[in-house]
Amino acid sequence: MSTTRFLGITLPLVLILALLIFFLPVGAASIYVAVTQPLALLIGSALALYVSRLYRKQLRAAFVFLAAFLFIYMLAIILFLSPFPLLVSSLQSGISETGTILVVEAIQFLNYLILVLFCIYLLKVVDIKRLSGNGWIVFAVTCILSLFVAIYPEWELFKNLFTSELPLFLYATIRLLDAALIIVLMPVIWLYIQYLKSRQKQSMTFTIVIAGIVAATLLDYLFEAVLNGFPELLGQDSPLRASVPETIFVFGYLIIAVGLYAHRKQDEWGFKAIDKAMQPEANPVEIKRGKGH
Amino acid sequence: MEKVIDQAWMLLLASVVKKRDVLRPNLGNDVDSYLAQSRLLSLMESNSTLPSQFYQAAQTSAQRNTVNIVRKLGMPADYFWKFEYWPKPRALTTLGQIVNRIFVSMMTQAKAGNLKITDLEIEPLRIHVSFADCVECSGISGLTHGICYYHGGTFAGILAGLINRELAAYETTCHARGDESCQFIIGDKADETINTEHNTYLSPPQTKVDMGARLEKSLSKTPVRPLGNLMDVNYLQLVIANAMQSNPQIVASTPFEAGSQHGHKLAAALASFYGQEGIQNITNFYQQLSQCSIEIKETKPELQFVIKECAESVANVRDMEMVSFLLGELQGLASQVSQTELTVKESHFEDGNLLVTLTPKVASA
Repeated sequence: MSTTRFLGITLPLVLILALLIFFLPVGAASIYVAVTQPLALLIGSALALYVSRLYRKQLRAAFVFLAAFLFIYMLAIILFLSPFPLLVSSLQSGISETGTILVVEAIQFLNYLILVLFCIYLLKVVDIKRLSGNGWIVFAVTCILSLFVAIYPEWELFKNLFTSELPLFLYATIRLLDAALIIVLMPVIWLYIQYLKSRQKQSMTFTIVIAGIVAATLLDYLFEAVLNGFPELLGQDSPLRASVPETIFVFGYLIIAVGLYAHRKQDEWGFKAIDKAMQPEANPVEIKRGKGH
Repeated sequence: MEKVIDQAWMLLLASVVKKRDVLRPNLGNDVDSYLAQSRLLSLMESNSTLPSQFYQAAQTSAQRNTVNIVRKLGMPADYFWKFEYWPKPRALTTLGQIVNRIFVSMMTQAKAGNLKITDLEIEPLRIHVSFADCVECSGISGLTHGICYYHGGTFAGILAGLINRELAAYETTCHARGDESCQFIIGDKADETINTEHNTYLSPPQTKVDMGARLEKSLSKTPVRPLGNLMDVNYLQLVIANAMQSNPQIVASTPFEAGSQHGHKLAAALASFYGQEGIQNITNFYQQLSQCSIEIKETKPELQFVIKECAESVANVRDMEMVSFLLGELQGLASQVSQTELTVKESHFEDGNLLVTLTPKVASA
């Protein structure tokens, strides 16, 4: 198995697994989402923790924070956010609905802070100064787009941000953190594209992990922004209003898990490829003998 | 010359992964390691800048070929991504595995020596490399400094090609100093300690080696190392081609001149070993060390040499620069043997053979 072959097989599979939500009956789709999302996050978290052991210093810290983020997010989904939340009814029986929302948002806020720490450590490792001119243009466009999709659908809320109640303030802050996340992570993807043909290759598998995080965040906001701009596209009671974001999240989380798995296996697969090619008569090397120099 | 080097690298790789072609039907694929040593040391004696140039040529070509080889073998280009953040055990194991599987295999096959990464520190980067039975210096003794510039450059180039960093090497122990193995330390070029040691290594004191004693070991088949006295002919090509990469404008003595001086000295050593003087010593010498087989036609006052299966020109290498040391050596040797100062009147390749005509200097004038 090679990294490219593994990704060639798994990435379409991930897409199929995500798109399956559209084709399942509503009840089955809910169960499917309730299982798939936390499972992908749990696997991703375990893999991120494993991958952290492959590195030292800032890069190890980055993967540890990623593992923590994925794990807490998994817990948040199981306890509060899934179609069948385990803790919401218990919380609501003890505290008010606003209190429940506040608890959920506080946990989400805390989790996003962990993700921000991941980004900070990542920026210490990724040499963002090596971005080309086009890279900086993409960076600028990303800044504008991310802030737009985070703020535009909730423009009224942002206008009165400092006078709003705490749950709403937290909600708005989370949206801004999401935008910041995309802004920070997009250069990693661009650096990969920039050095695609160069010897100074960026890690393909690591870029896929980052792409998974960006996809899960950005695509959901884009969908929201599109619906906000063109509400006539989908009826208020259309099931697609729920299933499209669920599909995006399943897709993003699975991509993260697949990227981390490939990253973890890279040493082994790379060596096996070389070992196989070095077997006598494996014949990978075409020797063109000169006719005279 | 780059083409010759790249082809030799690929042939060495092919010798591991494919059944080896016989490059020379009569003399085989091996030559005596004395040939490489005599060429390098002669050039070094007459050019104090050679170690630095030779090292640089070896590192550049090794780095280029490492990148090509690992790409051909299917290693992902991002395999050593963020190597500076790897923990020591992972770095040592993974780098060791790759080096073992590719480059140790190639060097073992070429009978160049036994390469091993013995230790590694990540910060600051220090890669400790041991090279036992080194073909570049085995059998040479009495020196106070390391002389394995080709291998120092090659190891730094291989590792630089793998982890994609600018590296520099220096030799800490060497067979030529009486040590058990040649050992190198490789680190970042920008590292001040590495850079200082590297520069000192490449500015050695004047090197004077008793090549007569070394030659006697080869002619009498006294093993100079456990691997034996032979080395792969492609490896010899690599060493020579890298030595020829030197900038001719700054060398004090060209390979031809260095070869000629060496040839003069060689004649006495051959006469002493064979117990006779005469032109026959020349054919015996080259045949015995598997350098080439020579037919000599005496058409007085000229001497015509038909050089067959010449080590420098195997695998269709037809580059006169590659044989320039040999031509000089032949001129010096034949002059000394015939007691007439000869000069190369003409030399060219014909039907895979190298044809050389020597003529007395006076006659040519």
